[in-house]
Amino acid sequence: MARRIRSSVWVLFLANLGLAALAAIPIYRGILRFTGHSLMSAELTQGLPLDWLIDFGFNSKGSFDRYAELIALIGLLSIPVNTVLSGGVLAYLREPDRSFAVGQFARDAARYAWRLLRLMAIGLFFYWLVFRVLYQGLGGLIDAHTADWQSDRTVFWIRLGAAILLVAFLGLVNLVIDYARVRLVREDGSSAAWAFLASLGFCLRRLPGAATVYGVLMFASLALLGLYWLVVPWPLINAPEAAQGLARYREPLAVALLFVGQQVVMFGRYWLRVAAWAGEWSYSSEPR
Amino acid sequence: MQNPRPGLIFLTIATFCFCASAVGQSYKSQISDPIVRYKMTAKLDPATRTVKGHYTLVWKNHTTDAIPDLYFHLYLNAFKNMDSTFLRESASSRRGEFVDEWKTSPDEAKWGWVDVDKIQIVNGADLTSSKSFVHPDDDNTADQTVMRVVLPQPIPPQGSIELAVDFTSKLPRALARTGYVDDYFLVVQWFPKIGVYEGPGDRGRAAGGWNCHQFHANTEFYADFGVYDVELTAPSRYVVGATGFLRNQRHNSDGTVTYNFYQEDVHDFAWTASPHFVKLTRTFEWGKEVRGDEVVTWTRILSLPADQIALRDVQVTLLLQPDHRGQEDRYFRAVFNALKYYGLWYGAYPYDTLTLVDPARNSRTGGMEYPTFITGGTDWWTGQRSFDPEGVTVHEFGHQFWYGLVANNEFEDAWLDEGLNTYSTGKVLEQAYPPECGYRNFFGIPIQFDPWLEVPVPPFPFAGVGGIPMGAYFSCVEVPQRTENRGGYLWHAKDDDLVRNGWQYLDGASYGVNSYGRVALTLRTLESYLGEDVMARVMRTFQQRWRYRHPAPQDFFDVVSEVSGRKMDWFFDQFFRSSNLVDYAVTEIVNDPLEGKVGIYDEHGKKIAHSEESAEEAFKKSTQKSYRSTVVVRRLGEAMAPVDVLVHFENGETVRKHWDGRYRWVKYVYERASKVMSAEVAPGRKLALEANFTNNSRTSEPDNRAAAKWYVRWIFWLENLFLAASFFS
Repeated sequence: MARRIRSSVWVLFLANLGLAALAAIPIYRGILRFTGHSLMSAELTQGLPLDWLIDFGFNSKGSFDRYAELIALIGLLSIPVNTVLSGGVLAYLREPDRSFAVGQFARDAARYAWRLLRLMAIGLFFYWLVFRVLYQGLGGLIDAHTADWQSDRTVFWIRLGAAILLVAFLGLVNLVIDYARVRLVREDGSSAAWAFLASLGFCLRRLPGAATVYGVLMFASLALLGLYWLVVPWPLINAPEAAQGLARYREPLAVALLFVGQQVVMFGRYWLRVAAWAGEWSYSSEPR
Repeated sequence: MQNPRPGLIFLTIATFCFCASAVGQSYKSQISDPIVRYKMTAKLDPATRTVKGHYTLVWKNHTTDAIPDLYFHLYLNAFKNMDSTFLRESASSRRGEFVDEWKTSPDEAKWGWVDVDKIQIVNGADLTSSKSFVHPDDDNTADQTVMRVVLPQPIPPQGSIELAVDFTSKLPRALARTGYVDDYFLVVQWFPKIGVYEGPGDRGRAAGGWNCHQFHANTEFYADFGVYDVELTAPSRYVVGATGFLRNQRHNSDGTVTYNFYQEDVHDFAWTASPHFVKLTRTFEWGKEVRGDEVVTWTRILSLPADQIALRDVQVTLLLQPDHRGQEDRYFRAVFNALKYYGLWYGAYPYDTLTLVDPARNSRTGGMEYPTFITGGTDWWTGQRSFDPEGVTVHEFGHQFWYGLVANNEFEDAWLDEGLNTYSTGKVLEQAYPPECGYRNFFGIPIQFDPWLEVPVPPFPFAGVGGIPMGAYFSCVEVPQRTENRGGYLWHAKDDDLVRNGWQYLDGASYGVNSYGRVALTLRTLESYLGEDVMARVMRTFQQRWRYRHPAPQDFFDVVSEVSGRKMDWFFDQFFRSSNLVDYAVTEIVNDPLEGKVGIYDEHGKKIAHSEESAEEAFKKSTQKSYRSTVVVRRLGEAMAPVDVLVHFENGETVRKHWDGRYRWVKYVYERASKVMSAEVAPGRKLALEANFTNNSRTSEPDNRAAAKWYVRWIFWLENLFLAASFFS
């Protein structure tokens, strides 16, 4: 099903590529302004010299903060953007044989936008609650109780246990929200709150199956990232630049290939995201 | 001896190995008439976290003054209440967060203090009623860390006094350096300790007087050399370690054990007790640790005979936390490396023993130095390429030389021992280890995992999993010592001059930078001017000349100038006595084509006009083009230093110029058949203190490849970030 709706994957992919390209522009300009005329530039094509990082941080004061602020801003913007776009993608799951049209996608996205945004707000509340209770609350308790413990090994395992618990609960909220999103579109008249509650009940009742559908594709997405990490020939990409002959084109070629490779990975990851929704759609539509 | 013969050297080494092979109490005092002689007994009561003690102190007036009073440090009173100078300063320092936590903790036993129950002259007057608290550094009348005792009659010049002192030390819940955590005790700065009376001329003083500062948040210690003969009593289940040599121990009928530790020529006594310590002892056998060619090298560099390069065997005791079993080899190797290199460079570690304490978790007692006794620090998950425990161990051991033997006043000149030792630590680590993996390469970004999570993540010490070379993908981002120091220095470079009383720096961060990293960078810069060999001789000379004494900064500066044979006052003024930044930059490279004549010229008695167009045309057609190239180098910082300027031409030619670096700029103009491609000032990053290495060089044409490459990478990282964020959508 997901294969047939790859056009909508393109929408997700391109929208996020655009946001990322926008957020990274100040970084490009900052590096060029600070380093474009320096011999340090050659070192910077081969890695990230800490001397340069210190130079830039100290002599271009506020730049890191500005970049971080813009990235955070656009990152926050990406959340509702992806929420709204997910409505358009999910609507295609209802009629997967329907040919893709930008206008129809936009109408579908708009149709579910408000309810999906409310669902997002519910989700954010629960994420905050889990974080507050398990990270701050439980973490604080552990700190207080283990303050006089001399064994760092024991404290490590306790903290690791708490961290795993935190991740598990965050994952559970994410699972419920993911299924709620699918349910909200599949059952057209559902409210966000009802979709959340119904999804919570569904996930708790059929946790192994629901988690498997959700988890397999999520881990596949992470595996894709890991695969990229393993196969990219970093030594070649970071090799010292050559100034003469055909080798002087190596650097632009390496950058171009890196970009293409990265975007193939990203497209794959968005495809797996949509595939996960498709799987959740199918699984939650099955009769008990 | 300029060119020692290897055969002779090996014979000498063998002789020294034989003589020193049996470790025992072989230390011979180097001080004929010590200023202090403590004979002490102390008993630890773990239940009340209290040490009851008694000592007799023979104190010698080595000056020409008649001294009417005595000053004592009562360091533990720093933890008595929130009005002590130490806690007031700490609350607003880098330790502030811990102080808040400590202050509000429910442990009511957390406060610490020391009471002088009785002080009297042996066979003489009881002085207890004449004691008072004084505050030589600030107006804080609540501070009780310095006690003054008025004597019934002055101690005459070269006279002495013998005191008997009873005291009670209540140890604090460890907040900084000293105290307890549960049943772990680090007992340091724990007894009423006499201050230093400086006579006229001592450390440049015009008039004599007590140098006995209050305990501050950032400063450490200052005391006279002497003899410590201490009997410590603790419950038998406790493992005890201390300054000096364990002469004997006896089991008492009340279930305690009394240990007698003894050490001459030291200026403090510290000890520790915990039932959990794993006690391990190994001997540093210098004949095995130091190769013959290393001795040859250092006899040549230091221009010394081989017998002066010889080291001594040392018994090293490690008191290890049980969780850290498996790291004993790293601890011992770190100490042995430090014993070797500090010894080769600065002279042998003279004492017989060294005790290294692996502190308890959360005790904040790691990374401290006391004579023949140091505390290290590690985590059980430490990575193979991280410098825990090596970095702290080498550094604290190094204090045996800079603080222990060359005993500067750490209150007033903290930088003199911390800075020289940070420089030395860096050199040892560079010599003995590959650079530290301060970060791991995560998709090209150097990441330090630990701060992100409450759970510290192991920094991937493995080389691979199942044949997949994961190490390559979590590759190490090496952090050279110089880089590590510079990373901290620049942000506080203008806060303070380097030479300053330790408690008068702007804040804890400025103290840290100015006492540690900045000095190391400054000494590296000095080394680049003097040369490594000369610098090695400077450090050796300073160490040897000032062993068992109290130098001041000027003493170090004098040794630099004397050994190097150069007037280096400009350097000390620029980099020690000011807070100026050094920043040289190549700001401009212009290549103007020499197009020939443009304008009106008197030729053959006539005025001939040459147009711009014809000149350009002629230049284009010319097979031997020439350029007027201008390179502008500017001094953007306030600090001045002589620098080299390297100019690279298109045809591969390189020209090196020397600039005194004083005026704000210098301009170099060349007329050649080749353009200037790039120029560098202070090439090779010679000025380790540079505020900006990036602008040290300039190319004639801009290059956007690095920016493009990092743009592409950032896009990918951000796409993944946004995809992760979309899970919250």
